[in-house]
Amino acid sequence: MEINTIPEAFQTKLRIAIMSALITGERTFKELKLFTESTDGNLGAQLSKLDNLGYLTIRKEFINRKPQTTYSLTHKGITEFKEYVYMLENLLRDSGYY
Amino acid sequence: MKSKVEIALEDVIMIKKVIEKTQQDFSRISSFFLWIGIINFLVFILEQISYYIRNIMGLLSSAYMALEKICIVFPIIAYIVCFLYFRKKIIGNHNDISNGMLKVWGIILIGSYIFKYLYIMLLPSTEIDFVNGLWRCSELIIFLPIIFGHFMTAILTKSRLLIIVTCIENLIFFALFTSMREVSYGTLGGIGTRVSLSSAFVRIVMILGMILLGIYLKKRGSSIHGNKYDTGSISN
Repeated sequence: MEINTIPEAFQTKLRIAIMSALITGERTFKELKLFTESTDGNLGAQLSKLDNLGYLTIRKEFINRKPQTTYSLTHKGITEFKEYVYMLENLLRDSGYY
Repeated sequence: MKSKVEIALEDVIMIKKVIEKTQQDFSRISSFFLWIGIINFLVFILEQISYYIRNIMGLLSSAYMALEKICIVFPIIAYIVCFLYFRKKIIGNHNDISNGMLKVWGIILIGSYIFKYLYIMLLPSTEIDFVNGLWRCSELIIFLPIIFGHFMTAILTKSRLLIIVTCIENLIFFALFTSMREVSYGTLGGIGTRVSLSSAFVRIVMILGMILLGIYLKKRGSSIHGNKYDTGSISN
């Protein structure tokens, strides 16, 4: 991955934050909201964008008669996010930050 | 205009902060402690019912004897079910602190309960003072691992408040344990029995203490999710 070919998924901070939260395991909508400090509407929009891009797996279920949506990263999501982080690290290393 | 390097640096810092926040999320493990408190509350109710039956129907009634056995078996089965359920729930989150906490508490609760049961089985049932002293020591088998668990939880969550509360809890227990005082217990429908004050305190810790610990961890998780890391810019 090059700096000029960053996928659409990583072009907003909220989407990067969502990916960072999901890289350590599956999360519910409520948990993602807490981790990213975002609003319901904004988070929902970015999640559906990531879903359309094929980065997320969504599981809907009822827990104690309440609907709960759980999100996790697909293989594609994990691979591309790792590539993106390596790219950032390389960029910083080349600039003398690391 | 920010350079690419500055943007990259901001992104790396943010990624690290979000991952760090996910590692300090205790909201899932907090329910484990709430359930341990509820299980112990159910055991307390079962004990009261069994004493009530004993007071009404006598020591040799089959209902009392059956309930007495249930009071021994129920917590161990409930602890195992609870441990397995939360292990399954937490394992997908790769949260090392919660995972570690669950393992420590699983060993403490299940291990100490089995050990206490085996210890009691070995004791002769006589009224000699020495044997009574050994009976009282069975409280230590339950309480000392719990104190250890509370200290471990305080260290893992870096909570000073939890360390102070555990120290106070420890002092109260040993003051009560050495005072040798007793209180009436299971007095519904009759005279019931007498238990040591320290034993009553262990019950309170196992019910109220665990529920409060669960609520505290849930609240602490929420406060960590607050503005500590200044993540307001993430949603932009």
